[in-house]
Amino acid sequence: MLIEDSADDAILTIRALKKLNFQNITVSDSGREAVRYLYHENVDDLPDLIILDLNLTIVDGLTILKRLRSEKKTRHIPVIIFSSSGEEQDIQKSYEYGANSYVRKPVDFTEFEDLALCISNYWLRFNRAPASPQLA
Amino acid sequence: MSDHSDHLHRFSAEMLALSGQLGFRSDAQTPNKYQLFGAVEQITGYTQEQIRQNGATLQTIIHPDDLSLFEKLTADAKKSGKSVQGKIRINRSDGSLLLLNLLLHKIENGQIEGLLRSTIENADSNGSVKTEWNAPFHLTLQINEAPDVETALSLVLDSFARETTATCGMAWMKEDQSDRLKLTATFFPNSSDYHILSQAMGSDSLPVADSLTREVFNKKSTGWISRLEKNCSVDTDKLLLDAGLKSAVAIPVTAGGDAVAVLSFFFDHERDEDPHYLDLISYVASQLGTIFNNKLSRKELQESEKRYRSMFDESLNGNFIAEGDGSFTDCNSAFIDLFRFDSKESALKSELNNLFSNATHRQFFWKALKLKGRIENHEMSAVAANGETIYIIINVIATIRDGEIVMLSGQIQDITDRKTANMALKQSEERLRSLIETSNEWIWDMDKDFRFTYSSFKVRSILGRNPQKILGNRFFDLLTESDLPSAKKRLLELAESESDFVGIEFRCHHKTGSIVYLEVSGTPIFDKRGYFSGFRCISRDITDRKHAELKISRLNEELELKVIERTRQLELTNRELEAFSYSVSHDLRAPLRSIDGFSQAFLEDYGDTLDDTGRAYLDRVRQAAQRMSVLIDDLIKLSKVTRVEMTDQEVNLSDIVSSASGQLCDQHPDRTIDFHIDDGLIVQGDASLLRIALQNLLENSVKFTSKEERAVIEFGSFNKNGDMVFYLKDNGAGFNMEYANKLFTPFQRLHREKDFPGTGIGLATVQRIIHRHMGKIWAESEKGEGATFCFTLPVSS
Repeated sequence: MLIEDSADDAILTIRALKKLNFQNITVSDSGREAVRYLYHENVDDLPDLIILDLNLTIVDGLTILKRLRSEKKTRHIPVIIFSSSGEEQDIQKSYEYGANSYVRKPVDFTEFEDLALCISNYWLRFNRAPASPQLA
Repeated sequence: MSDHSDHLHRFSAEMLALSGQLGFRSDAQTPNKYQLFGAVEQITGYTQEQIRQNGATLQTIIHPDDLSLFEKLTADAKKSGKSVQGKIRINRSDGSLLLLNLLLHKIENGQIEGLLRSTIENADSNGSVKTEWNAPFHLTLQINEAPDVETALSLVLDSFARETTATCGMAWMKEDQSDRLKLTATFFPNSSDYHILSQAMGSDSLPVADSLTREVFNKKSTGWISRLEKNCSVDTDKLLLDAGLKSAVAIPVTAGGDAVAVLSFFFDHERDEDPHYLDLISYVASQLGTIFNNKLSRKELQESEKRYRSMFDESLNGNFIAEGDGSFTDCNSAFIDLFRFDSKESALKSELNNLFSNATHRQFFWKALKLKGRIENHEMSAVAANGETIYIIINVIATIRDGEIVMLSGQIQDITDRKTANMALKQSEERLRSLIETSNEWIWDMDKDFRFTYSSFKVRSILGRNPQKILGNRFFDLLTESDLPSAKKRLLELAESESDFVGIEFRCHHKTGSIVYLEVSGTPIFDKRGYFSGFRCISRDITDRKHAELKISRLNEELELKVIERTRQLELTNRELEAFSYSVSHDLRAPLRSIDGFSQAFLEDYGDTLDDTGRAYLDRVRQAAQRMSVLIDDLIKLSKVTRVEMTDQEVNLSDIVSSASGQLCDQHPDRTIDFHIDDGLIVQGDASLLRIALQNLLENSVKFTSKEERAVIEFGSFNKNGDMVFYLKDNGAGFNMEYANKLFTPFQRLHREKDFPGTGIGLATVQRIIHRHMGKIWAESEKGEGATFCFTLPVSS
């Protein structure tokens, strides 16, 4: 699942992920919508991986991350923060709230594709059933 | 001796009567008239009464045939001054003629004194006087002619012993300062019988007086022993007995009430006490006593003279004696010094009149002296011999005879030092007074009730008040109401503790009503008994200063407010800047990402519809987007370097350079780079900022040596003018020193992007970091010769 409110970034990210044979990519363009979706009682098919942008309107990425980690339902889902910010403060906060990884959005998309490969390899192939993630 | 022994010539009438002699003395006014005395009746048969009634004179009783002889003898005695003798006859009252021995001599004023005595051997029933005896007349003369007491004693002893047929005689004299008797003269017959005795007494050893002599000396009364006993208490007694002496007589010579000598005579036969003998010896002793007395009194006189002399000479005051006209006859050394005379001679050539500094003094002096006979403690100025003016106190006593001053004696005390000290004191007082009156400070005294007792004139200009009228007012009356309670409390405390105070500020009312700031310092004053009696104060008008101070403090307050306002604005700006850079980093990058991402997607998905040129264009679009991304990142870094809060800790630059160089080698595995890094270069600063700076510099060096086959990069330090300078040197492309000042400007590049890629932000970042550490940075190079970057940083102490 990709939570990204920038349409351009969303298109490019999906494009890159699809190249790596990612299936069933759910895209949410707002934090609020994503939360509503994830915690809807009818939704049992939870995503294997959440890619979360920090700079979201209304409900920002860190708030969502906190929520994801506080709810039993979503606690185990690996979350990759995908942000254009290189600020130390943002990186530190993200890990503090339980992000599994922090990836800065590169300008060069080739670079991004390489990154996406690493992520999928790690989180979806070698580490399919991760242990309960630690709460911050 | 003649000065003092006039009366010795005069025979004692009493003594002559006792010895049966007739004395006569010519009258001072009528030389031919003789006064008769002594045993007049015995010799002439006339009583003194009869002689007076009959108008008998010496000439009337001398036998007429012998008158010319008498005249001749008198003339001889007058002429020679010596005693003369002869035999003349007199007519006695019973008509008989009597041949008598005549002795006469001259006494003072040309008078003649003489005596007449019997030529007949008067063998009385005791047979005591065996021979005619010429004493005491001879003795008197001998005593007179003796040069000293010892000789007189010796002469008397000899004559008396001979003429009274004593066997032996001794004269003992009291030693000075002790009670011991000293054998002064002896008389021994030439007979061998007395050889041992004479030897014993005449030897060098000090002979001890015999018991009788000693007793007589102690008791001061005559002693007679008719039979010398064998119980001897001293050796001398035994010697006397052994020599065959049988009886003895001794008589004390007294002077001033004390025994001063003893005359002792011894006989070779037992002899009872003989009053006649005693009379004679007493007479002699009394005459000797007189000599001793004179000697004593002369000695005393000499001593007293000596005492006065030394008092006169050694006095610290100047002493002088002058004649009636004022010319000096004597003076002491203090006097000579006082008047700066070269010597006593020059002083004695001067006279009192020369010493007066003016005529008025001189006239007063003589007038007063004549009137009162003395001048006491008169203070005046005088002129010394060298012309110097000196101040003296003079005491003079004049001896006045018939209304004229005949002699002056005086004492002078030098008070020049005291006088000049007084004058100096007066001058210093005047100086102080003028100082007080001209001083910029207001000086005043107040009593213990804080009432003014003195005020300098300055109060007029400081407070507009009259310095006279202010006296008696309380200091508190001047104070402003707001200062009054605290000032009262403070001053009462100070009065209580009687302590000094410095620089207390009071606000006072000027007469015009304006407020004057006074800075007052004071010291307690005490009365003669040592009791606190107020304060002496000095105060300064500090109104102007005070106003200035107030103005400054107002300005300071305003300034502080301004600083706070500016700081607030600055903080605001900083926050805005932070927000700006944040949005730059996100918002500017997002479109770039889209440009790059879609360009790539376009290339991938529709690349085959484009020719090579079209694809190359799209590549350029992507490159541009990526370069802009780097630029944005660098810009953010630069702004962060300026904004970030600094820590202060020890930073090991050598370690940073080492680790950074390792990373760089890893990044450029294809290149050969030699790093030479000095160890232990430690500074004080922010570790993360310094790491950024050094990384930038190293990357710079690595970049500009990229065209060298073998890059050499050195990091070290040197001392320049006491500052530690760090340097990073490379053997790279270097730069033209003309543009050295542009090196650290952001976006400024000295090389083409094609040759050495970069944004031109790195060195600007380095400079900002160094500047934030209060350091300096500069670069030295020559094109193609490599570059050296130097910087200073605070070194940890």
